Order: sequence, then C-alpha cells, then structure tokens
Amino acid sequence: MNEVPSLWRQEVWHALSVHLPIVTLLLSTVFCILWLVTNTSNQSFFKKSTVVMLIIGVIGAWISIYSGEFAYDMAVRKICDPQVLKDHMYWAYFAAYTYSGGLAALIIFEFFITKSLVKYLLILILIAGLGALLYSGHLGASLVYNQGAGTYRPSGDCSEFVE
Amino acid sequence: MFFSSCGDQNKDTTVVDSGTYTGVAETVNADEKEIYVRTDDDKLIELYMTDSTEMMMNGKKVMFDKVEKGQKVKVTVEKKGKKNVPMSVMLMEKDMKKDDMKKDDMKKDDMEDKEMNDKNDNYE
Repeated sequence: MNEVPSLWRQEVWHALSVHLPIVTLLLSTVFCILWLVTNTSNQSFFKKSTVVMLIIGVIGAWISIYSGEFAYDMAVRKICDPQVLKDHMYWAYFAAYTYSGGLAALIIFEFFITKSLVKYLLILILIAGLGALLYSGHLGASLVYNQGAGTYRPSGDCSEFVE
Repeated sequence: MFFSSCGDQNKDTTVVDSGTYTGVAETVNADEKEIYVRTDDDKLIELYMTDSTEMMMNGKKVMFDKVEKGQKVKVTVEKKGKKNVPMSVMLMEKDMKKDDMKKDDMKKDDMEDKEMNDKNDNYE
C-alpha cells in the first residue's frame, strides 16, 4: 500500500516560499507607478511602500529560486514536458535579477543628483520585472496544474488515506 | 549552483524516438544525475537518470559517478511525452581525442606505405 508522503518534502518548500515574493514584487511595481502618478502628499507613502515591498520581494525571490533549484531535480523526472520547467526557471531568474537591479536603482536614487531620471528608470525596470514575474508564475502554474509537478497522485481507491 | 542549471537549459536538445542509440557523453552533470549524449547522427539527447535506469560497464552494474565527459555510451531510451527517459546506459571505452585519432591514422598510413614499399622491393 502507498504511503501519503510528508508535506515537508523538499519540493514543497518551493511552493511555500514562492508566493510571498510574487505578491510583494507585484505590489512594489504597483506602488512605484502610484508614486510616479500621484500628487505630493501621497508620494512619501507610496515611496516607502515601494521600498518595503521591493526589499521583502527581492530577498524572497532569491530564497524561492534556491528552493526551486532543489525542486527541479524531482520535478524534471516527473513531468512530461521539461521545456516548460526550463522556461519557468529562465523567467524566474530574469525576474529576480531585474527586481534586484530595481532595488539597486532605488538605493542609487537616494544619492543621485537627477532623481527624476532614476525614478523613471526604476519604473521601467520594475515593469519589465513584473512581465517576467507574471510569465514565470503562469509557467509555474501550468507545471503544477497541467503536469502535476511537486504533487502527489493518490491511488485509485485512496486506500493510503484510510487509517 | 544558481547558474549551472540556467546555462544547461539553453542547449539545443532533441527528443528522439524510443530505441537504442550510441554516442558520446558531451556533458555530465553529477549534481542532477544528468547527461547530454551526442548521438552518432549528431542529435543531442538530454537524459536524467531515474531509479530504474540501469547503468552498465563491462557487463556489470555501475554507479553514475563512473560516467565521464567524452565517454562513449550506448543508451536505450523511451520517449515519454516531450522527454526521453533512459532505461539503460552502457558505458563503453572513452572517446578518443581527435589528435590521437589523427596520430593513429598517420601511423596506419606509414605502415601501409612501408608494406607497399616492401612489396615493390620484392617485385624488383
């Protein structure tokens, strides 16, 4: 009889770590755009929100890439089309590097003389990062829901769930 | 670790039909128990070893760490979806370097020339 595998298995760590950076990085782009378009009284709030979301997001992104590298070994042997996994990985790296570049631009922003230029540059970087993030997320979802990556397939009679 | 998988993923690999192929282990990725095999007809197959993959050398079962880059291999693969699953990998002699092959060819040519000369001498 099959045994239900532990929820703490290696590949599940990726699912655990990946969702927080997706949300925070997405919000960092949204807050950055609002920072650009809103009037002066709200700008400070949106700027602070962009910074906080970006810092949490970039740290989280690299943690989830690390956990994704471990999940890769298992997933690539289980799925039917490994190219989707490779593309997912490529765009995840692209998003992580782009948002890291955005964070670097934000740090430079504090010391730069022509602040407005860096601000526009930052928005472009974060929008590019968002595109990569969404596409990578789409591929990740297709890996899980279409190919069953990282998931356990119960037996036909579900006997392993009977105590 | 961060970059190794990212680089390998861009290789121009082919998914071949189920069957047996001979070729050379062009890349060996020990961390992921993965090999890229360049077949005799110049196709690059990406193979991830599984628990059921048999790895043999001189008729004996061997571990993955015996595979070396440039080694000649005979692989039996099954096509599943858009991937190839290795059923067995037979390790053969290590592929000769091109320089060594050229030297061997030159030696052969020298020998043939000598034989020809000897024959000609005998006729004379």
